[in-house]
Amino acid sequence: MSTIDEIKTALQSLSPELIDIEDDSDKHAGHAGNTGGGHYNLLIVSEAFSGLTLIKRHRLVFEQVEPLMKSKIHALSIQAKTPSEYQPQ
Amino acid sequence: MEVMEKIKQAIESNPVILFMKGTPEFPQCGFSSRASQAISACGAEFAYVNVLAEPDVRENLHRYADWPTFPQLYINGELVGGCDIIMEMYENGDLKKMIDEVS
Repeated sequence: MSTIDEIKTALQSLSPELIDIEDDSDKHAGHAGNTGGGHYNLLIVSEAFSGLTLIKRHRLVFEQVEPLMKSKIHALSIQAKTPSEYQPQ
Repeated sequence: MEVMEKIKQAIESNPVILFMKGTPEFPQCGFSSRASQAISACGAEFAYVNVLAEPDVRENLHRYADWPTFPQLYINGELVGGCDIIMEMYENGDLKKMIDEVS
């Protein structure tokens, strides 16, 4: 299973209406302090974020993917929206 | 000094402090670079710790506020967030408000 699929699987616990993950690793290969693990951009839309501050939303996401941090994920850029906030581009 | 105590002192003695990779002049990571630029653009002095130069801080900071990545911004002793949150708050004006309140 690819890391993107593993991230998607881990986030199913938030019952997302939409998940979009982009692998951004190529832009950061071998830069200072990267001990392996990719860079990913995540857009997730879920009712679970309703009423939560930004920091709580990010914490909720990090909690779900915690086992993947360190090893497979070096950096995760997060956009966490509720369905009513999300405007498709 | 024990590393957790060192982290605590740094956070508590600086109203605005960024833990980053590299320095504001020579950032070593795009996320740290964007975060430090946004804070600078709010017009305040801020403290920083280059975690690449302090491996014990780099190893242990995640335990302080249970946040897994760098950079990390603390204002008035509280974790504000990482790069995405800093950028979002910079863009909507909340970051400048928070920084103005403490400086």
